[in-house]
Amino acid sequence: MRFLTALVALGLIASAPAQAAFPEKDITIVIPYGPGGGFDTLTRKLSPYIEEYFREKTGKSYNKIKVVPKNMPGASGKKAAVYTSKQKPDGYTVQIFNIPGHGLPYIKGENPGYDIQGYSWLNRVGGDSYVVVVSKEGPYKKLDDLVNKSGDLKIPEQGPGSTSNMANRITWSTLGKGGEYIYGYKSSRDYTTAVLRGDGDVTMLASGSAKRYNKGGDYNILAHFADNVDPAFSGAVNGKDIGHPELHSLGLLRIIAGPAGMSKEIMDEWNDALSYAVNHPDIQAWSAKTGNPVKAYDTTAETKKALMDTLDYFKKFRDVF
Amino acid sequence: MEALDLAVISEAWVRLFELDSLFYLVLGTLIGLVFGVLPGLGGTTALAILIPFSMNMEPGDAIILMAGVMGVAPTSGAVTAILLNTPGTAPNAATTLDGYPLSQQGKAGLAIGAAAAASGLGGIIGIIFLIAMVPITREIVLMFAPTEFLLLAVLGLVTVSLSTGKKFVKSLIVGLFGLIIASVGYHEVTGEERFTFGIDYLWDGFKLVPVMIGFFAVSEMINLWAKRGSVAGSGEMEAINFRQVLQGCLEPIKRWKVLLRGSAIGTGVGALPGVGGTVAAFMAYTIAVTTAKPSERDSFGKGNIIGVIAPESANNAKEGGALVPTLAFGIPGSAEMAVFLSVLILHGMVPGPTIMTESLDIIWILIAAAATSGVIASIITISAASSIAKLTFVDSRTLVPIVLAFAMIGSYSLDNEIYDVVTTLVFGFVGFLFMRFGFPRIAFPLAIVLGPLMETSYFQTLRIGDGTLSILFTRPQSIVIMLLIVACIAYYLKGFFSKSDSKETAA
Repeated sequence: MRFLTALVALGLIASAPAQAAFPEKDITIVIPYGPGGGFDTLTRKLSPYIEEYFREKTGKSYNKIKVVPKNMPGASGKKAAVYTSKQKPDGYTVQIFNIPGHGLPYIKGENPGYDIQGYSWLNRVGGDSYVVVVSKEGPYKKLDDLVNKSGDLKIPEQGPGSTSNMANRITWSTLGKGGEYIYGYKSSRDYTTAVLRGDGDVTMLASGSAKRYNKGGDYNILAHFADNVDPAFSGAVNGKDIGHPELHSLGLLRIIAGPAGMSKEIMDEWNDALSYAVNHPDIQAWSAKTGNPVKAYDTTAETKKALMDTLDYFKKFRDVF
Repeated sequence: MEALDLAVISEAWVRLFELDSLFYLVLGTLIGLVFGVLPGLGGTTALAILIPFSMNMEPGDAIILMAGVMGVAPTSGAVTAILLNTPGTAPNAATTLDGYPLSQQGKAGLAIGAAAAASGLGGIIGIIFLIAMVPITREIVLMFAPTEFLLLAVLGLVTVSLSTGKKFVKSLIVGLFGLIIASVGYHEVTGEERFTFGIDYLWDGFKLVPVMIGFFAVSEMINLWAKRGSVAGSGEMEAINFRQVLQGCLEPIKRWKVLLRGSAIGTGVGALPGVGGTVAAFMAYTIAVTTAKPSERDSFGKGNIIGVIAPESANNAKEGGALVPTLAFGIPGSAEMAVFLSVLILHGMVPGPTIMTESLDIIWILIAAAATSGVIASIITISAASSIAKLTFVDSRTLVPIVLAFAMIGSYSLDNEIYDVVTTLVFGFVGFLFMRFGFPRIAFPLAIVLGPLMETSYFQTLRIGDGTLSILFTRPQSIVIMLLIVACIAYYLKGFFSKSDSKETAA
């Protein structure tokens, strides 16, 4: 028995340094889109602070370890998600995910070659709510004006399956209004400018993007689907005001996750590293200045719950996609 | 703060000529040159690699380093277009029309000199035009809707087809092939997959870079191998010296009207995201042909130096134009600009209308650095031109394996994807077949660049116009572009019939 206890103790000692040693080599964060977009910018901004956490906060000298962002664009993010799912669950390859975008196949009941529920969900690094945007010069001064417009609304958009398209479809079907989608704009900046130009009536944006794009005061924000309307959108209504508080669940998340099967210790280490980076004063100051909302959760369990809550909310509307 | 605040503008230039700024500018320019001449690697790759380094730099220095890279890419792309009939970037394709025949005649030095000088001067003229446009950037961007993008794409395809003269029909066939290739993959408007045959690699369609490397570089090398000898079949290597290069440098100044017109077209068309440089270069070329003296017109396509000056000045001036949508709304005018904007965001700046008031100093540093890097790149290219031009005298048995190796490595290094190498080889063979049967390949890059734009704009125009294209006839700017298309076709037909008439008279 004594021998067994000693063996177990030895095992614990032997395994403890192995766990605590993470990370021992460079870490890759896969970005499922090309250089230059929001996901790329956020990942590159956070990477040095994640590095700093692993270097300093753990009290270990990991000076040589780098956190390397790696762009892997293709198939609307599917290529990267499949790649990440096939990596070793050792914490050295993780990915930033676009939710609900990466969850669309789950929502629609399709098989994209990866299981969205299976990843090791580490922490949220960004999250936002949606707003309804019209041109200030246009005829629509309040949400009712859009709902009461004769015929369908013309809505400039990126394409079917984009997160903002899902938000638009849920919103307008909830409000009983038809939408005619003008697809093919390259970015949210592009289709918001299209609304200003008069290509369409209205579009929806993440609130952070809306703040950035509206610095010149070109747009009216008619609704902000959040429990508390942001003071920047004065005059906007929220879901509660129009009798549809469920629209507040219409969020988007940027979450870092690794392949299925990561150990709890490494997942917790990652959760702390991401919380440290996200809550770093430099990052918070950058976030406030550029309107890129960065947020983190305290635990991996909270992260997974937020993921599933969002996906299950969108799943209720699978028929409108 | 006024956009054209002279104090801010002069401060930007003073800042640029400080020692550390000049260091970053020259460094950026050199990096841009190296990445520009290697197939597969371009300005976007160079910028993406530099992002981590730029994050720890002071914003002004980071911008100067990045602007150095951005200002140089079009210049280096012209070198391979002239020497190897392989455009470094899609906008350089028009330069092959007369640049390569000049190389075949042993006048590569002259062509490179003219291209480099036209690039440098075009870049500066483009910046001057940009400064003039700064107060109305917003109006310019709002003026062009999908309706106009559709027509501009058509205009681009019409001008490139007409630029091939007698081979108009064959050129249309090549263009059609390009449009089919461009249609492969997930269609962003309908949400459907086309011609992917269940292959994941084709989901995003064929990538431009591996296709271009194959269609131009590999096919050219196959052809050269089959032909034996060297690129410059005729001409004397001794003729390529610095004097020939300098003579080339003076050509754009002698033909200043061509230079100015090319630069104006470049800035104007370059302001339209997605259309930019490629259409600008071909428009400048076609307009140069149509406005040339009747005695000179027949020499286009056979090594007329104007055919190098016009597209290269347009191609570099478009860098100034590409800043218009960026300054007005933060919309990137090109892939390089998209990466550059992320650098601005990383440094806490918000691209868009307010950048002109909040970070005006940075914008002027960017403009000054981009213009200067173009000039530095031109000087470096001119200095090295006589040596580089001698490549055209290297025997195919030596040149072909080296170029092919670089082509394959470049193609693979884009995404570390073996399928990209397969794509390059397949398109190399297809391009060679087109060459063998006398099809001008020049419409191909324009078709694959403009095909998706044309299709998407068509769908958007239909949606905006409630299911009809009648909206094309209600917008003055659309009508102007339609008139330009009609004028181009009418000009071609006039030339066609007048030649028939003269033949009949002679008979």
